[in-house]
Amino acid sequence: MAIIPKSLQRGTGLRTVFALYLFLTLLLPLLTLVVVAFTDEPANPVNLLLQGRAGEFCSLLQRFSWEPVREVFATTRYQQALTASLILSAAVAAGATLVGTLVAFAASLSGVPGRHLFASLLPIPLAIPPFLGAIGLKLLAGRSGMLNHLLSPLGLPWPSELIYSYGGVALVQVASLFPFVALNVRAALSELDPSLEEAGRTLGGAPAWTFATITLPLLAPALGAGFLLTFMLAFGDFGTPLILLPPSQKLLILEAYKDLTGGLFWAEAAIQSLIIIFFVGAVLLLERRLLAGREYYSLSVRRATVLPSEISWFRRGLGFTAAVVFALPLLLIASMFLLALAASWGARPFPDALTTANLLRVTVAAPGPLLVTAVAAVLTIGCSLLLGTLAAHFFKRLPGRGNTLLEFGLSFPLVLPGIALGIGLIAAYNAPPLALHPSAFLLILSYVLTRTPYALVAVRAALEQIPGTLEEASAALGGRPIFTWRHVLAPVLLPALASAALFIYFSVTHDISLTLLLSPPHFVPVSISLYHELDSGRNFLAAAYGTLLFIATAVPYLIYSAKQR
Amino acid sequence: MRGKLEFRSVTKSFGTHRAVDDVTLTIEEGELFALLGPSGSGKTTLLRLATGFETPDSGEIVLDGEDISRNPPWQRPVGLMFQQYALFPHLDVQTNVAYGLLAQRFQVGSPVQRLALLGGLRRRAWHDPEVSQAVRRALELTEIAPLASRRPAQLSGGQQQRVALARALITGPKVLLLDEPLSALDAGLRERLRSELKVLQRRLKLTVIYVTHDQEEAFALADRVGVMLNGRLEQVAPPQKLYRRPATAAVSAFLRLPNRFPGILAAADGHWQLTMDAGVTLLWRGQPAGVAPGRVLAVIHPEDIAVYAPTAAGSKPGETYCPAQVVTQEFRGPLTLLTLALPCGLCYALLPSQELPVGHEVTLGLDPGRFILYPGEEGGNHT
Ligand SMILES: Nc1ncnc2c1ncn2[C@@H]1O[C@H](COP(=O)(O)OP(=O)(O)O)[C@@H](O)[C@H]1O
Ligand SMILES: [Mg+2]
Repeated sequence: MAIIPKSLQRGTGLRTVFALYLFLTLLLPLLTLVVVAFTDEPANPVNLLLQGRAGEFCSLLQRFSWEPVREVFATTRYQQALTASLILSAAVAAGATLVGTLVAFAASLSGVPGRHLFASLLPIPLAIPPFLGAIGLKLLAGRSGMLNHLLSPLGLPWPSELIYSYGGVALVQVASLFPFVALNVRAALSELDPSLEEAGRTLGGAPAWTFATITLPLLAPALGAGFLLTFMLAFGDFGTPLILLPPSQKLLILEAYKDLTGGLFWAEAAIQSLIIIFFVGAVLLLERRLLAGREYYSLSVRRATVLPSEISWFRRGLGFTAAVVFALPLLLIASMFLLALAASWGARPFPDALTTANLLRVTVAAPGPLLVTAVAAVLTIGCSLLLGTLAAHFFKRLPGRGNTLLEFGLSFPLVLPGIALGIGLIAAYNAPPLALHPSAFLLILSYVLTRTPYALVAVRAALEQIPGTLEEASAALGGRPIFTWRHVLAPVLLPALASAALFIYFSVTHDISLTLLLSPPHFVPVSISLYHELDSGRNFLAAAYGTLLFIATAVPYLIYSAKQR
Repeated sequence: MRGKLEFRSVTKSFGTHRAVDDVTLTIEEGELFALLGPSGSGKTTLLRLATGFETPDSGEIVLDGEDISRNPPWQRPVGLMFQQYALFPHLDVQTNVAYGLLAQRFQVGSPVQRLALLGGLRRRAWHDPEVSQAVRRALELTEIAPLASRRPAQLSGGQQQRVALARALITGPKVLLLDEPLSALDAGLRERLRSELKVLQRRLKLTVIYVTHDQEEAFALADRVGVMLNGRLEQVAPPQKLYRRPATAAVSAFLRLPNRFPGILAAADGHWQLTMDAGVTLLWRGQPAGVAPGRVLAVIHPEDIAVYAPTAAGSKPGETYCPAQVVTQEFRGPLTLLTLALPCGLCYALLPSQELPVGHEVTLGLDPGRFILYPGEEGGNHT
C-alpha cells in the first residue's frame, strides 16, 4: 500500500532483521539441540565455526547417528516419562476444556446465579500460574501444610501424600489453565448470533435440542482451540511437577531438567527437549490447520451477549459448578495469605500470632528479587511490544513470500516450553566466543522471544479492527504516516498494547522454567527466591513471596480492568 | 487556478486483471463529472489512482499542468469522500473536520509544532481560533454546526455524509472525489442531498468527480458523464447525449435500454433492409450510420415506439407497422410502461398513462430513424 514510505515498501531490511533475530534466538538453539542429541556430545557447532575450527565441525557431523536417540527410546525411564506426559496433558486439557466451558456458560448465560461475579473473576486464575497454584496446594495440603498440621493432632489423618502425584499436578493445572478455555469460549459465545438459536426455536427446537444442534457446533472451533492450547501449556508446564511430583513418578519435562542439572547428561536432555518441542510444534500445526484464519488466542476480556436459557436446573448447576471451580484457587491464595502473615502456627485453624515480618522481609528488607523481577519485566515488556508491533504492522502491510515462516517463528515461542528452549540456549551459548550463559542478557532475551507473541497477536487483532479506509482518509487529508499512526492507529493500538503488556508482565513475573535454567547468581527474581525458600522448608517466607507475586499481578490487573469500564 | 484534472493513458492491473485500462480523460475546472459504471468496472480504482493510494502501471495523472502520478496521497491537493465516509470514530465531529487542517500544519510546521501536533488534536480543533473558525464555516456550509461535539457513532447516515463532506472540503482541495457518496442512504434523503451537493458545487465552483452506479443520479447531477465498463472508459458525453446516443451496444445495455433486436442488415434494390429475428422488417433509404451489412443489433428507446389502436394505424412516412399484444402494463405515474408481444419476441413502450388492458391488440409504429444500430450480435450484457 502506498501509505508506507517507499524505503520500507519492499521490507527487505526489516525481514532480514527478523530472520537474524529468529536465527539467533530460536533456530540456533534448536540446531544445537539436534547436534547434541545426535552426536551425544555437548558440542557447540556454532562456536566451532566461529572459531574457524571447521575440521572439528566436520568430524562432529560425521559422528551423527541415531544411536543416542534409540537408546533414549529404549530406556524404561524415558518411555514412562513420555507416556505419562502425553496422557497427563491430554487429561488436563480435557478437564480444563470441560471446566472452562462450564464456567464460560456460567459467566454468560442470563439467570445463572452469580453470573456477574464469575465474569469478573474469570481472568483471576491467570494471575495464579500453575507454579503458584502448586505452591499454594503444597502449603495448604502438603506434608507440612496447614491441613496436616491442623488435622493430625485431632487424630484425623490428612492424606497429604495424595497431592504429590500426577493427580495433584492435574488438579493444579486444570485449576489454573481453565480460564484460557473459558475466555475463548466466552468470546465465541458473545459472537454467536442469538437469532440463530431463536431461529432454531421457531422451527420447533426445544432448548436442549437447539443447544446441541446449533450452539455447540458453532462453539466447536473455540473448544478445539482451547483443548489444544491447554494441552500445549500443560505439556510444557514445569513448575507444577517440579514442586509436586515425587521422584518415582516421571514426566518428560522434569527428566530433561534433571538430566541437565543433575548429571549433565547433555544428549538425553537435548533429546527430550526435542521430543517436547516436536509434540508441541505438532499440536500447534494441527491447531493452525483446524482453525486456519481464526484467531483464538485472544486473551481480551470481552462482553458476552446474554443467551436465553430456560432450563433452571441447568442454570443452577452451572452456578454451583462455577462456584466450586473458583473456590479452589481462591482457597489456595487465601491460605497463602494467612501463612505469609503467620509468625508461627501450631495445630490450630489460625496462626498463633500474626506478623508483617515475612512480608517486610521479602519487600523492604531484601528488595533484591523484587527489583530483579521489576527490571526483567520492564525490559521484556518494552522489547516485546516493540518487536510485536513492528512485526504485526509488517505482516499486515507487506504481504510477501517468507512471511508465513517468519510469522510462525515469531509466534511459535508462545507455546515453546521454557525447559526445552532453555536447554537449547544453554547448549548454544555456553562457551566462548558467544559465552552468554549465564547472564541477565540471555535470560531477558529468552523472555522476549517467548513473550513477543502476546504483543504480536494483540496488535494484529487491533489492526484488524481498523478499516483500511480510515488510514486512507487520513492520508487523503494530508496526514503523513507518523501523523496517521499517532491519530488514527494509536488510539486503537494503545489499549491492545496495554493488555498485551499486562499479560507479558504476568507471565514474566511467574516464569520458573527459563528462569531456573538461565538466571545468573546475581540476578535472582522473585519466582526463584520463592522456589528456594520452599525447597529449604521456609514455608512462611515462601508464602510471603507467593503473596507478593499474587498481589503484584492481581493489583495491576484490577486497575487495568477498572480502567476498561 | 483551480482543478483541471487529466488522466493520460492511465492503466492499472491487479495481477492479470486490468482494473483500469488505458483511460484518457480530462475533467475541466468547475465541472461536475459523473463516473458511471457497474460494480467492479474500475471506478474506485480510478479514484484511488487520482488520490495516490495506487500508482498507475503506465500513463500520467496531471493536475493543473503538474504530473502528480508519483506524489504520495498526503501531498496531493485532492479531496476524497469515501463510500462509507471513513469518519474517525474516536474523534468528535469538530476534530474530524479539523483533521485535514491540522495534518497540513504538521506537514509545514517546525519540529516543536510537529511534536505538539502529535500530542493531541482535540484541543487545537476547538480552541485554535483559525482552525475553529474554518471548521465552523465548513460545518455551516454543510448545515451541521449544532453537531460539532458529537461522535460519528451518534450521527445518522445523512449527518455522517455531511461531516465527511465538510471534512473533505476544509483543506480547499482542487478536486473533490466522491465515491458513491449517497449509496448508503435511503432514496428520499439521497435525492435531497444530491441537489444540495449540486448547489454547493456550483457555489464553490468545485471540480468534482462523482462516482456512481446509478444512472439516474449521474444524469441528474452531472455536466458530463463517463461510462466505465470493464476498466475502459466507453463513452464520455453530456447526460442527454449519452442517453439518446449510447456509443456502443455495451453502453446501451448498461443504460438498460430494453428494446434490443438482433437481426440481419442487407442492401436490397436501393434500400437497406433490416430483418429482425423478432419478425419485423425495417427499411432505410441510405446506409444506416456505424454499421455494415451482416448481423447487427437494433436498439430503440421505449418512448420512441408509437402505439396505435389496431384500426387507427397512422401513416407517417417511413414508419413500419406491426401488430402486437399487451402482455403487462406497469404504472409509472404520468407514464406507463407496456410490455408487448411481437410475432416472436417482446418489446417495451413508454407512453402517457392510459388504460390498455392486458391482452389488448395494438399496432406499433416503428420509425427506422429512431433506431440505433450496433455492429455484431448482442454485445455486452450489463443489466
Ligand atoms: N487492491 C486490489 N487488488 C486486487 N484486485 C483489485 C484491487 N482493487 C480492485 N481490484 C479489482 O479491480 C476491479 C475494479 O474494482 P473497483 O475499482 O473497486 O470497481 P468499482 O469501484 O467500479 O466497483 C474489480 O474486479 C476488483 O476486484
Ligand atoms: Mg467502488
